[in-house]
Amino acid sequence: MLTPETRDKILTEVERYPQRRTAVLPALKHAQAQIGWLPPEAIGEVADLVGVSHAAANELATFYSMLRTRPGGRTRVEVCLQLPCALAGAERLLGALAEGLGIRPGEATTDGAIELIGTPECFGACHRAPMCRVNDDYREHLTPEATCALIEELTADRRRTTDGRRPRARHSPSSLVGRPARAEGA
Amino acid sequence: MIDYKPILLPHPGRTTPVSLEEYRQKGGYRGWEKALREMSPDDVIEEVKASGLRGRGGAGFPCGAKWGFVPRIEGPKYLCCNADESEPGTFKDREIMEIEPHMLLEGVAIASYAIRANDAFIYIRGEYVTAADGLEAAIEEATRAGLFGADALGKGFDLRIHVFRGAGAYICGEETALLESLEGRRPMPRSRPPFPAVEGLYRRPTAVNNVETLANVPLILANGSAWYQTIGVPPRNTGPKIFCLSGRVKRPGNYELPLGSVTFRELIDQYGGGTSTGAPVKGVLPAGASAPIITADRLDTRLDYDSVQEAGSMLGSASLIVLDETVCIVRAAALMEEFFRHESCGKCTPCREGTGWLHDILVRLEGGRGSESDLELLMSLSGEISGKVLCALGDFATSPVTATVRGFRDEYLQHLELGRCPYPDWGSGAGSWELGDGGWQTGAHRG
Repeated sequence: MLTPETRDKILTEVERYPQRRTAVLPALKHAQAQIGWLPPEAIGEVADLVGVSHAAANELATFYSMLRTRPGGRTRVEVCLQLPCALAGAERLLGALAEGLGIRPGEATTDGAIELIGTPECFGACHRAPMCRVNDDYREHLTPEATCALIEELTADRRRTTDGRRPRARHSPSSLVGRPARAEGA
Repeated sequence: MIDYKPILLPHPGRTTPVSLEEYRQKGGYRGWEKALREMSPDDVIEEVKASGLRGRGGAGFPCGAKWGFVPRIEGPKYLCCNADESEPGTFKDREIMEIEPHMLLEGVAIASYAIRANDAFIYIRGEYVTAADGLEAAIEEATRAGLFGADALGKGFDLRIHVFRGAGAYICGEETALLESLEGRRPMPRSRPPFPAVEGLYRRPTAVNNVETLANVPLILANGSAWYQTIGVPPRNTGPKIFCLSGRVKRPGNYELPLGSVTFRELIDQYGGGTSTGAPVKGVLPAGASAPIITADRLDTRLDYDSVQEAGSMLGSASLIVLDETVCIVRAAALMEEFFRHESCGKCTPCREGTGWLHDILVRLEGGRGSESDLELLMSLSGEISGKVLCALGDFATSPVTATVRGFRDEYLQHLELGRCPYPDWGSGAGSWELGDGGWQTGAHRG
């Protein structure tokens, strides 16, 4: 299921390191970059190309949080909820994104366009909290205004990529409108 | 504020990397040239030993001594730069790599020469895509200029520097897990001895150094260890240190200052602009989630390895997360414990199971449920994890618990007396998502 381009990239990785097993992790990333996730067939194909057992590749695919053994949204929005971000309103950010995108954290939109994730992992952007990653891009300093803009952007991207189907999400979540930067008690 | 001009991060506010040309104009790669042209590998080790440079990744182990442990035997040896920066509250290595890639590469080159390694790996966390791309471009730039590669600078030393990208695992910052990851295995820590200096990558002699540690090395070579000793508090706390300031401060960010030159209070008030809410400081986590909290009565402690240790904690990576009086300490502990639960690799049972139990108990207590005996349970459970596991993650995982139970017992009890959290303002706005027993729940207002 891997394209010739992906296979070439993997074989280049195998050449690069003193021992070929080192190439398993970068090879899995190339496969995921092509497919979007790592189905068992892809893991097996990577293992065969690198020259390790399928189990050796599978034990990496199932360990690292950036490798995915289940399909998810095409765009992944990952919100850091660890302490420095939490102190800056990360949970409110996650709630606003959930409301704006019309999904719950841990879910993807029904068209598979966007997946929203809240994670206890820290991404090293604590001085620009709260933040999230949109695929590999860091989105930092997410004030309520910046969050509304991000939701607009994600929704517009989704409209472009979903063949005219209109998303039902609201653009300006009520939880952000007219709210101060800090969270209020209910 | 003290009179000090940053040397590791000399371009505050800059967002683009310093090019090879710019770096060389400001004296860059002088240390590397000096090492290759005028010094033996052992001379380099002695110079770094004399500087007093201690590891900036957390442990504070003397850098020169670490290199000295690498045996002078034939065959491959490896230098690994630990760029897996994943400790909550830590973002210093990211700035070094994004803005000063050549400073790090020069340090990597000098360290490789010191231990006679022809292959160096920079193990960078997978999320730092910008930094990894920048490092790869910088390596290419420097190799084209003859600084690295075969016969570097025409002095007969071959050096290949590889950037290896991780894939999201805090445990890879633990040096033996990092080596396992580089070898293509599940990153689970090894039992020691043997230590990496003797049996490291591919079971060959290996030195593992943090990004900030290696960034200090070019300056030591270029200007000499005597110059380096004038920064900080010799003999045990020399050189500059980058302090990552985050949490409830007005101006979070990286602040580079000589070790021991300021106290917690001075850093927070003079550099961080005080707390963002104006409320007094309740406590500071000096090393992300991994070291015991410094309570408000100890804020006049100087920021160097020994002073913070005397105050009962650890300087570690110097990632200061500031908590003010409006922050619930039990909730903060629960968040940090959730991190360790998520990041435990699962190899050692006490850590794998224990971090989950600690987290569950903390969530229960934060919600005002549970009983006073849960506090003793937290302490005894922590004692069953710390010191009974292969790596420091298990030890670190107990410090958010034990230090807060000791320092803030009354606050824990207050939760139980009220039957709810007494700090309802933190992140619990209407329509927000709350962390409950079963994960994320909507609209559930705590208390």
